[in-house]
Amino acid sequence: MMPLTQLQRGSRGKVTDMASVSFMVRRRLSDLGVTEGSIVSVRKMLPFGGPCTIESNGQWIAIRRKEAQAVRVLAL
Amino acid sequence: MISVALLGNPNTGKTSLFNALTRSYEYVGNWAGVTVEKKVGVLLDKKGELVDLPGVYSLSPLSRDEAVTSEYLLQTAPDVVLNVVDASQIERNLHLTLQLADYGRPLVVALNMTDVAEGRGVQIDPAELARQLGAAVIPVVARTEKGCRELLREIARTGERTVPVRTAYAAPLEEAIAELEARIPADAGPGRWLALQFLEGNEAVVQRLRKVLPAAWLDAFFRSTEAAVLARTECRDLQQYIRQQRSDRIANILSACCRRVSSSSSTFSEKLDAIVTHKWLGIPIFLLFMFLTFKLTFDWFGTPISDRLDALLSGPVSDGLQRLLQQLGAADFIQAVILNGIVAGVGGVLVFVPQIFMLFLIISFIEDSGYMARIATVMDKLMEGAGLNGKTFIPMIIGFGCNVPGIMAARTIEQPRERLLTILLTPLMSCSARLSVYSLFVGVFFQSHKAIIVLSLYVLGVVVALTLAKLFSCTLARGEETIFVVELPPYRFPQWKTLARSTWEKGKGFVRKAGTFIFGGSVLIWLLSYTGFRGWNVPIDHSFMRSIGDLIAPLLQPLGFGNWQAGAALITGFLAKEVVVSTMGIIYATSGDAGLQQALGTYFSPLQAYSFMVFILLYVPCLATVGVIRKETNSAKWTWFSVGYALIVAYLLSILIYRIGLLLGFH
Amino acid sequence: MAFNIVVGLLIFGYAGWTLVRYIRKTRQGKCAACSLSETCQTGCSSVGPIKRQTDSR
Repeated sequence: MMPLTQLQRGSRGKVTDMASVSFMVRRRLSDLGVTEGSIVSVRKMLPFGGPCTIESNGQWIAIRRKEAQAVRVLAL
Repeated sequence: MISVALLGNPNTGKTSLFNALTRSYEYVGNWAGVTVEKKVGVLLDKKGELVDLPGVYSLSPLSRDEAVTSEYLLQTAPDVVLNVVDASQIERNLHLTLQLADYGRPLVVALNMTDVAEGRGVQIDPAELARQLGAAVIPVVARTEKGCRELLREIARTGERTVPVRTAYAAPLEEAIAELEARIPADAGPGRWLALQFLEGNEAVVQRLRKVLPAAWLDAFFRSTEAAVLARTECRDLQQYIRQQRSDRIANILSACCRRVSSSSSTFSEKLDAIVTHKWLGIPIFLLFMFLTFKLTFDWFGTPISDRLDALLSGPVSDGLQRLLQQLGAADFIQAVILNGIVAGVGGVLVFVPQIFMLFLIISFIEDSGYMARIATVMDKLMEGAGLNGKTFIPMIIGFGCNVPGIMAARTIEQPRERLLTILLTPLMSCSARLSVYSLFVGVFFQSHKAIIVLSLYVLGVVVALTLAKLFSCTLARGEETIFVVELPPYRFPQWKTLARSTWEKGKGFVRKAGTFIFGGSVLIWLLSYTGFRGWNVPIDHSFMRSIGDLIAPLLQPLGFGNWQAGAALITGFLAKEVVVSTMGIIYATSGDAGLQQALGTYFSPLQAYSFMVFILLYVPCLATVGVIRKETNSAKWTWFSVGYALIVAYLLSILIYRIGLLLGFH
Repeated sequence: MAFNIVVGLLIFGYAGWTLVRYIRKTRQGKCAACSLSETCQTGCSSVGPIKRQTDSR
């Protein structure tokens, strides 16, 4: 298990734990279909700790680096 | 007439479908959250009324626009629920569909974007999906209106409709639903749906149930149910558990009706994203885009056309009109109100129509192409520094067109504090009305640097907004942390038809305003400059207009433009910023100076003109904007605040720019 | 003379009407002067603020 941000760019991981993601972000991500068990990959990180773009199920979502760090994934 | 409610996830093409089914034209775009309020239209076959609702992912609202949708379902029971499903994201979309099936009204599913889904290798069998859901499923392509006729026919088949198949949940939850449902009075709404939404934590439903059932009992019931359910699973909370149960059913449905040929992601979007959301180049590319916008608006297209219009209006049109009026034997008074009032006032604003349509065309392009969400992403780090998030930049970009819809768009922002800040700061975005003032002034004073001067004003507006956001979030509106989640829709090249419609719809408002309110304002302003304490037809220096301008001119002296004309224009400009142009046109026409442009050259120096433009940019939101701020914040205090702070900031900044400019040797 | 009176009345009557209508619309807080106002048939539906528990856990 590791934070989503440490996932190699382009490789895929399975979300295992989102408990420490803030409530609203977790709700929004689950609305967009990203919950425990989803397969995600990191596509892009903006500089200065800016947001990162993740891909899940053909859909692109931008979230903050801080929140991405709170998502624990298992590399596939 | 039957009532049909149009629901679906954000950015699935609900409004496109609404327009196709009702032949109306509503605002469409390619980002999540275009529609922020409900809109009603009559179906083409005149058999029903269609209600377009803001997009939602689930029925539990997180933001104000989503609350509009939840409230609608609670307050009205539509005869048919029309659910738009994005076939390329069918898994996520079906979560909402299943919640709507529980709602218990007849359901029609419009399966949109099947072309995109097939491009991604996803094939869906509509007949099988219909059987699984117990609802009619019609494949459509909303953008090209394919399948709309079939959809209308299906909606009209009211008699033979069945209730959709409900999701069955595992034992402890299903029992709890039944227990709560039995207690909910029949007139409160669909019991099973209310019970489920309550257990899922839908705040709108919680409020509703508290009105009919004792709050303490509800809380205890919620807690005991959650404990009973969580004891048997590993879920974090009830919400997650219910969602998981739905996911299981969706997996079953999809295994029956959906075939995945191959999974290839859209590489075009990826390649484009590599450039426009590039690590370092993201913001510079956005600025370059804005610069090109102003190049197009001022240098390449807008101004050349507008100059020709101006020449036509002040030459042949005025002369012809004057001759005509003389032949008809019009009195001097009538001639003056038409030539010096209406032609100078309304015409003075109308000549800037080319620039304004150009700007609207580009804003429509940003909205429809999918670039909007990328700008939000690129700006997020900067916005976070100011105590906001990247998504709050979307209302601000819309504010570049008109501040009113910009403030409305702030409804999509989840955190109340960020929403308030966005409402208060969006008026600092330079709107199209202000563009007419800049057009006039840069045309006279900054011939060779039009685009860069105007870009500097737009950037100044954004910088001031961010600085104030930082200030306000440290002082007035402290509180919750900011959040940022935005979906990046695939890029698409906007259809010319959509782009043209969208531009026209925005620009039409400007033209209509010129024909109604600006007309009225111009006549009033002309009257004020024609009359004075000594009676009718006084020289302009004895007119009421002069007295009004003189009232505040001394205050403006430190800013560099202490002439009474500027003072009068600023006061009338509160009604609408275009009126500044009308007022100047009328004053200089009445005083018989050469042309407006030459006259301006004698009253302002370039530096004073720039200081004046900065003041116009910031000084107060226009009357319509103030009205919307009042409505959206629902607070007189914040409304006054938005007017007051703007005035102070405008004053200080104009002084600063003028004084520093003088020190640097400009004049 | 008749021409002057008719034209004068038309101009000032229309101008007064547009001003009154604009001010009244804005007062109501309806989306006056908004570029969408023409096609928007319902005006802005008002909804109360969302109250929510900060974190359900």
